[in-house]
Amino acid sequence: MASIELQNLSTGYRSGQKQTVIADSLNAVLKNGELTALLGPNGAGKSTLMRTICGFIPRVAGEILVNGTDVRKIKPSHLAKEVAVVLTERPDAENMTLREMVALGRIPYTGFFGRLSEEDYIIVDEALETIGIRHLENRKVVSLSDGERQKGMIAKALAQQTDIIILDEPTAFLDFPGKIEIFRLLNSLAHENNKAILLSTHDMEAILQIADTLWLLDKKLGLTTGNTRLLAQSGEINRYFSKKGVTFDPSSCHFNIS
Amino acid sequence: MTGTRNTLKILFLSILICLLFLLNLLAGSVAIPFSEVFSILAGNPTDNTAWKYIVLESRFPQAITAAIAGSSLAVTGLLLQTAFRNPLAGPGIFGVNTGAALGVAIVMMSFGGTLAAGDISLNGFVAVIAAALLGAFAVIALILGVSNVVRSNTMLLIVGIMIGYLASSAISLLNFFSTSEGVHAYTIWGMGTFSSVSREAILPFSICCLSGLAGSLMLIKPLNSLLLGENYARNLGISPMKIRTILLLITGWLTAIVTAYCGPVGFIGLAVPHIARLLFKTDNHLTLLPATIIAGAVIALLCNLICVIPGNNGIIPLSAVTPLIGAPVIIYIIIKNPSRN
Repeated sequence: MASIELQNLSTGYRSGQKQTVIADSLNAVLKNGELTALLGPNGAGKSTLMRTICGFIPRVAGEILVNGTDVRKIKPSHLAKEVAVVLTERPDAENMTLREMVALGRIPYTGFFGRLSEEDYIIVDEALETIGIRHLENRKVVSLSDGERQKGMIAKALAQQTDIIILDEPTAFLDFPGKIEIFRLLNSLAHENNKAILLSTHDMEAILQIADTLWLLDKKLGLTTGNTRLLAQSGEINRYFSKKGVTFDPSSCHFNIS
Repeated sequence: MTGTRNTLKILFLSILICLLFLLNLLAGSVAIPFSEVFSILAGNPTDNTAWKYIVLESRFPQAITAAIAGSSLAVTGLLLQTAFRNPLAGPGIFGVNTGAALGVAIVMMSFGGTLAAGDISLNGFVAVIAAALLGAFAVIALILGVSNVVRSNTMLLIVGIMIGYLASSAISLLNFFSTSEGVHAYTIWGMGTFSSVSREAILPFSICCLSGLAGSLMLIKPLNSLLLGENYARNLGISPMKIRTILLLITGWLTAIVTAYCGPVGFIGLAVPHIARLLFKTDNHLTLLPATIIAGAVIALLCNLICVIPGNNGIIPLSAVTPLIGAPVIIYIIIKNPSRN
């Protein structure tokens, strides 16, 4: 099932009268039950695309459909129940515990003062349990490692109970085992909880072995989407990423440095 | 578990408020025996009409003013600190104070000192309040305008500080061209005091402040979402721009009312939210906002008490006392928390 659909989308910035288009004619479909990775060299417009899909910056042209509806027609309070994000921003509250942070994912569902109901508590518990960080729940967020905090943010996204989770460089500050752990976690969330998960990353080699679907983005080549293995075998990955001295070997899913 | 502990802390602070309130009624430049104060409060007839006047018309409104003004300023500090993600944000830092002060200065100096804040020549006083509101909202409008262009909260804070400097330099210029009576009236007002709200004015003053405080309650949930950052908040269905606008309006309202009546009272807005965070060890505004309201009243009553310590030798200006409590707290926060540096 398609959960997010991009139709002839153009991304970019507007400052005053001037409009800068970063990428245009973007067409893609994000599906439930799949881990999708947005890959591309620096400057391709990955983060602009991510921000546009999240609704943090206005799109320049084209459509973004969320579960079949034009995203501009969805009320923010309702969209919060359909799309959850994980960003690289750090929370700035020294007394906040991990549990409190995860519980903020319930904001779209709570009442005027944001008080949690019995049901909210259970959902937060489940989110902590699923991500495997229940034992850290009373730790202050500022005392957590980058990886632990990032898992907390994913738990927040789970507590938000959305179909779709979008993660902007969720592994940026993590060491290699930490990256693998996050990728595997997201993979199992997509498959076992039937979420549509889109992440952007620079960790090519690791994600190529885990992601079901790839969105390849490049300034010249535009956006190409498809099954990871098929894109590797058809030479698309090579087309997007091979530079002088680096070639992609589709049989082993590795980059070779010559 | 933490719930009951917090309830106990709130209870403790509430008792402290009562205690300090009582002490504020007992202490002052005129020595009145405890028993007499209680008897006057109980409404018993008394021979000494001067004492009765002092307790009911001076000390009582002053203590009420201190408590409410303290709460109001403390809440403005908390709102600004969370919204701008900066522990040093406060009405003083943002120049909202100074904007209000500029409004007051214009009125006082153009009236040439015929009215001091203590006077209840009603027209004059309404003019002072209106001017303070105008000044505060002018600064807020400027900051809101700039916030559409300047996205960084730190930069916005610096813009606020600069606007504050501009306003105070305008005040200095006004001083230069004003009559000595005007300067005198403004200087007295500038020292700050909780004693300038008369018993008649207590009700309107309280209603104005309490309405602002009530307004702040509707920000509890959005403020919590902002702890994660603006984009996370947006994703949770909260509009940071809208929240910031409401928040600045409430801040301007509370700051202007308190500043018009009490003069520029510094440091309470800046320091009390930190005291509340230290005491309650939480950033959840559901606890932190009420805690800040109560702690603001405690600190302001304490400051007011210190002001009258010299007894019949006079009164220490409020603006000399609040930094004594506020500044060490800020320094402690910065030293204690190396992760912020």
